Amino acid sequence: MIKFDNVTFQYENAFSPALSNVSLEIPDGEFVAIVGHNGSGKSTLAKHVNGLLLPVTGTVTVNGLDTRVEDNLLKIRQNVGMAFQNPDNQLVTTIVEEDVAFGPENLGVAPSEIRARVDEALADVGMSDYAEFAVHHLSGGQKQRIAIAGILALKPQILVLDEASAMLDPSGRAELLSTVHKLHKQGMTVLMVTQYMEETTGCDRIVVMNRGKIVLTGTPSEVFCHPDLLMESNLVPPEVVTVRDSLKQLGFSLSDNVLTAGQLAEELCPLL
Amino acid sequence: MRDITLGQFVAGNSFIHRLDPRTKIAMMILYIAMTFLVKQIYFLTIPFFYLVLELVLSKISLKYILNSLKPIRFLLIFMFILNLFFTKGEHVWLDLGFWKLTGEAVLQSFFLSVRIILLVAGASMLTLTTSPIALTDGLERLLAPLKIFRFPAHELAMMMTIALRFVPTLMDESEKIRNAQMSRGADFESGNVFRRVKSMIPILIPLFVSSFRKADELAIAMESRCYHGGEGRTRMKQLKFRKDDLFAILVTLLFVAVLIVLLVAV
Repeated sequence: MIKFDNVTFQYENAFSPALSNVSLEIPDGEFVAIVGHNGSGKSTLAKHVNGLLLPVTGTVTVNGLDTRVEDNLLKIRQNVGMAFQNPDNQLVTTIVEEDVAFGPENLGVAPSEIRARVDEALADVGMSDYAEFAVHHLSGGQKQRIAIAGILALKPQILVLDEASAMLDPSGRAELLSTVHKLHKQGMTVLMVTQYMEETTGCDRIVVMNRGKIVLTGTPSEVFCHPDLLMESNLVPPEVVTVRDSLKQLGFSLSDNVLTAGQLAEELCPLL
Repeated sequence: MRDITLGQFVAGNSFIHRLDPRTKIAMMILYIAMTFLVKQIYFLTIPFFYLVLELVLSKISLKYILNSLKPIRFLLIFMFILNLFFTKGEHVWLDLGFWKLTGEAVLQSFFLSVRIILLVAGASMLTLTTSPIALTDGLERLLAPLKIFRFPAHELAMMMTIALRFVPTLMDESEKIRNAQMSRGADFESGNVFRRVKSMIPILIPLFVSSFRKADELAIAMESRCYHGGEGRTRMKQLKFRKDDLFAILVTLLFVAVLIVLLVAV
């Protein structure tokens, strides 16, 4: 469980705090999407979860461990895997399987156990066939899956994606998203920071951030019922939701649970 | 282009390829010692035979070795001519008044050229048969005992690993910057040498800036993956010193012994 308690954070030389009085609880096994436009503080929030940034006031705890305590950090980082935006800048070694092994090697895991973990992690992200490839021969989506395999090899309970899909093409994004959903089904707690509202439709809860504050939180169908509030945060609901709302105004009776094109088609067909 | 720069490793599964990288590094050091021990050209045949043996066992085509000699061809020619001029000797073959071509000079020129060729060819045997990662690993383990003198063996190996990893990435990046600058009207193709070197600046500066950003992001990613220096770190791939390695070392030592005996005897 991740717990933000009244967290405030300000970057050096910044005029206003990047996070102000943020309180948030994420129970085990939940899939949370954090959305917001540039500078809303969503990435800053994510970097607090594994102690890359430390709160100026307030506390962040992961499974009860305070991130401000130096001795907790290694344990927290083993528990909180973090994937970043640029797939190139988070892979450390040239060969895929050696990169995946990097995390457990740092923890001093026994060689045979590392081998087992690497094989399992690569299988989990569907990249077993690429174990001996050089990373620069892979596509962006594949690199990002390798980055996630590298995290899985640490056996974390929490996966944080800090705009991990931002630099990928649509197919790479779809690859990544399905991998993350698969991991969530296996019990992983997921915290996904993103700018793409379409990616959030499948998650348990959406947290909308603006100017360092949480402005709205709820299930996707709840959050997308407030297009006005989203607009205020410079966000736009997914296109399907916009279409749904326009259809509703035209007199079609559609439920708020319609979030994807498939669901829309299902509810719309009987009405036609 | 991107793969050539990653060392010149030629993947394979020969006897030499399968040797422990530490063995291969030791073999190369002994081989270099051999070429330096020799003072007479005819004794260079011993390291030469050793190299041929290695080449045959590694199943690497001679073409790769010759390619590795290409960059030093001008150096070779230069050294050869320089030695012809400056080596003193008794047996005058040609007297032009201001300069005498002597038998000793010709011999010395050949001797030095062959020695350099053998050195470079031997060193490229190592990089041709050992992947850069294995090489880095081998170096780290070989240098590990120096840690008691505070020698940063792990840090050095990690730096090499990261450098190797980022060579292709930075090549891509410089290509992108080059294209971006060219689409803004930058000219990289015309003008004399100085102008061309100067025109590299608009590529180098952005490349430097982006390297620093990459370094920053990589450091954060490494930290997130529990990296905290070499202390208590294990490795997935363990290096194993096998029978073959012992055999290879013994054969190399045999060559060294034969050479020393010959040197002493003559």
